[in-house]
Amino acid sequence: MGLTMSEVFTFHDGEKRFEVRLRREEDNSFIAIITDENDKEKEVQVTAKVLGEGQFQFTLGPIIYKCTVAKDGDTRFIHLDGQDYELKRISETEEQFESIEDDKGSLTSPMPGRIVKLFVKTGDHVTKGQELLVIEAMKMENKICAPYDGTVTTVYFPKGDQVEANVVLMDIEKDKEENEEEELSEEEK
Amino acid sequence: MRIVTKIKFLNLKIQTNSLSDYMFKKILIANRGEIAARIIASAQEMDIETVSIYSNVDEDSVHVHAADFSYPLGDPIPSESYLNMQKIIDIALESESEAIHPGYGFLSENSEFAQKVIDAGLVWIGPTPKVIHAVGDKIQAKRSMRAVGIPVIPGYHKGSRSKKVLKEKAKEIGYPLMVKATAGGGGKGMRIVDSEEEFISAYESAQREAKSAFGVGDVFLEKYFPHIRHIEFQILGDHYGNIIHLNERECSIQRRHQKIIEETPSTVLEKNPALRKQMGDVAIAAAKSVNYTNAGSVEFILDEIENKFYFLEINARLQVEHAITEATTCVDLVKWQLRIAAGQKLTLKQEDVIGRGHALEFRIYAENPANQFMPTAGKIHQVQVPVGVNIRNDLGITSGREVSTYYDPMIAKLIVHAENREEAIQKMKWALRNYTALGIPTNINFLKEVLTHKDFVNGITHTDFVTHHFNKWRGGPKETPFEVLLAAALFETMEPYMSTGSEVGQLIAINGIDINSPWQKFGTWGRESLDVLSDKITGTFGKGKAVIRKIIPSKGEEFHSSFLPDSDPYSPWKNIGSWEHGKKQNRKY
Repeated sequence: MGLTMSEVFTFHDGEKRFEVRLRREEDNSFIAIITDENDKEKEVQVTAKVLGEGQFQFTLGPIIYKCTVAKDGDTRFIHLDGQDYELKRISETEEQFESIEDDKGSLTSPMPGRIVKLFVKTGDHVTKGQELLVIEAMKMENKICAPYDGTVTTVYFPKGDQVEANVVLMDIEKDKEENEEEELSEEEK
Repeated sequence: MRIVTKIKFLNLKIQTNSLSDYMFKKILIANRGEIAARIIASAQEMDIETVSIYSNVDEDSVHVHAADFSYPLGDPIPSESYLNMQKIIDIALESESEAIHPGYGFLSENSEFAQKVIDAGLVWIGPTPKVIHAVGDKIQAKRSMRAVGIPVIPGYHKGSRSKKVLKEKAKEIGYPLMVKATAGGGGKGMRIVDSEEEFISAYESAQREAKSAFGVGDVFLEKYFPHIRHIEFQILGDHYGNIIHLNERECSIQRRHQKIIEETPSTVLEKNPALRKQMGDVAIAAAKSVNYTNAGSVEFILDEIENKFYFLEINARLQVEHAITEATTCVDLVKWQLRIAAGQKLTLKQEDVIGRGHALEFRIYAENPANQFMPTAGKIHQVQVPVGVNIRNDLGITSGREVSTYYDPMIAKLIVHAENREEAIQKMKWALRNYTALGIPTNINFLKEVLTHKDFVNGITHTDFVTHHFNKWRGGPKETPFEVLLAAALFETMEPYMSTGSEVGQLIAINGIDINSPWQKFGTWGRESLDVLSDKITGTFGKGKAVIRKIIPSKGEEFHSSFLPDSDPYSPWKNIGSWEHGKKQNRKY
C-alpha cells in the first residue's frame, strides 16, 4: 500500500458518534471503513464523482446514489435517498471543548430574536420546565424553559436585547446528581 | 399626473358598468417572496407589466427576478419596507402602476392602506376598504353574522381591556377557552387557556403578541374546541352582486394555530354532500351580508361530535392555500382578482365550478419541529424541487439565499394534484422525497411523517392532530444508515473540488470529470448528456467562450456544444435568453 493516503472523519448524529476512515486507492476509488461507538465496523469500496457545488454521486455496487450536502459551521445537512439527515462533524479538539462546556451548564438561544420577557435573575433557583425568558422572533413569542433543576449563576442579556442564534443566554448550575440518570433515560425515550 | 386622472375616470366607469372589458397595463405587487412571484406570473400571462418592491435583504429574491420592474424599499424592518404605506404608494405612482395587489400578510387586510391606495387614484386589488374593515374586526364580523342567523362560536365578543371583566366572562364561557386578537390572523395573538390560573398570563402574552404583529392589542374570548376540523370556502365576488364559492378546503393540520397542510376536497364533506351544500350556502350568505367583492374565504370550524359548524371569520384576501383550489377547479384565482378589480364581471357561474380529483398543499417552513417549531434562519445552500405531472412549486427561495428573521419563515409551498386522495398522498410522498432544501433546519422530514401517519392517510384530521400525535416528535430517521456517514465523509474529502473559484491546477476532479465545467450546472439537461457520454471530455474554457467536444461512444459521432450562439440547434438555452432580456431592458430606475 505504501503511498496511499487515509483520512479519518468523525461525526455525531445526536445519539451516536461515528468514525469514517477513507483511503484513496490507485484506481481513484475509495475504501471506506465506518465504525460506530460500539466498534461495529463496515467496510465498503466506493467510487464517487462531483456533480456540482455540494452535489456528488457515489456508487456502491449496483446502486448509484445522488447526494446533496450543505454545510453550516460543523453541521452537515445531507439529502440522500429521499431523506434528510443532520450530522455534526467533530474534530478532536472540539470534543474536549464540548464536554467542558456541558459541566458549566449554559443555556443558548435557539434562534435570533429579541428578549421580550426575562423571569429570572442571578442567584434564582429554577426547576426543570420553568419559564426563564421569552424571545420574540418573526412576530412570534417563544418560551425558553429551564432544561433541568439548578441555580442561575449568570444572566448575559437584559430584557429588550436582540440576540443572535446559539449565543449563551445564561449559565445554570445543575443541582447535584440525584435524578441525572433518570432524566437521561427519559430523554432517550 | 396624467395617470391619476385616468384611473379616477376608470373608477367612475366601473360604477357605471360600461367599461367591463378593461384590463390594467401595469400593476404593483406590495409583497415579497413566493406570493409576489405567483401574482407576477398570472399578471404577465395577461400581458400586464409588473412592478415589484424589495427591501435591502431581498435584493436578489425570487419576486425581484420575476418582475418586469423593481424598486428598492431600503431598510428591511417590515414597518420601514413592506408595511410602509406611503413608500409603497409613492413607488406605485412613480412607476405609473394602475393598481396594487397586496398578496397575503403585510398590508393585505389593512383597510386604511386600501383606502389610501384608492385616495391616491390607484385601484386596490382586493375587497373594498369598507368590507376589509367589516370583516377584519373579528368582533364586528361575528355580530353581523349572528344578525343574519349564521352560527358563531359562543364567547365574549366585546373587546374589553379590563382584566377583571374578562376573567369574569371567561368563567361564564368555561374552560378551555381561547384568547384571540381582534386584528390579524395566521395564529398570532392567540392563546388557549385551560384553567383560571393561566388566564392572566395568557391574556397578557396574547395581547403583547397582537400589538407587535398588528399594532392593535385588543383581544376577545371564545369557547375552545380542541377536536374539530377547520373547513373554509373559497369565494369570489364582483362589483355587480355576483358571488360564488369554489368549493371547500380543509386545513385541520396545524401547529401553533397555523395551517401547515391543506387539502381539497375535505374527507368529511366527501361523505356528506348535504353538509357541503349547506356550508357552501352559508358561506355565500356570509359574503353577501357584507357585500363582499374580490377573492376571499369564509372559515368555519366543524364539530363532528355535535355535528355542528360555526362561522369563524372571513379572510379578506387571497389565501396561502389558494393553490389547491386552483388545482381542482382549474380556475386561476389571481386572474379573477385582477379582472374583478378592473371592473369586469364575474362570468364564472356557480354551476361552472367543478372540483376534480384531490389536491394537497404542504407548506415548507424554515423551522425546527423537534424544538417547538421554532423559526430558523440562515443560508439555504441547496434548493432542488421535485418536477413532475401535477406538481406545483410556489417557491420563495433559491440556492444560496438567506432566510432572514425579518419576515415569515414559510419558504415554499408544495402542491400536488391527483385523481383521488390516495394517489395525491402517493404523489406527495414522492415529491417530498425529491425535495431538497438544505442548510438550515426545515419541517420537511416532519411533513413526511405526518403524510404517512395512519390517521392522516385515513382522513382522520383534526386541529389537535399535531399536538396529539407529534408532541414528542424529536425528528427524522432514528438510525443513521452507513450510506449517510459514507456520504458525509466523501463530501469532506471532495469539498475542495466543489468550489467554483478553484485554481486551474485543481480543475480536474475525481473520475476525470471537470467540476468547473459549465455542464455541471445545466441541471438535468446537462447531466443527462454527461451520463450518455464516456469519460472522454476535452474542453477549452476561457473568456466566456467555450467549446466542449464530446464523444458519444455508441454512435461514434461527434457531439458539438458551445456557448456560441447557433452552434447547438438543440440547446434549450436558445429559447430563453433574448426573450427575458427584451422585457428587462424596459426597466426604468
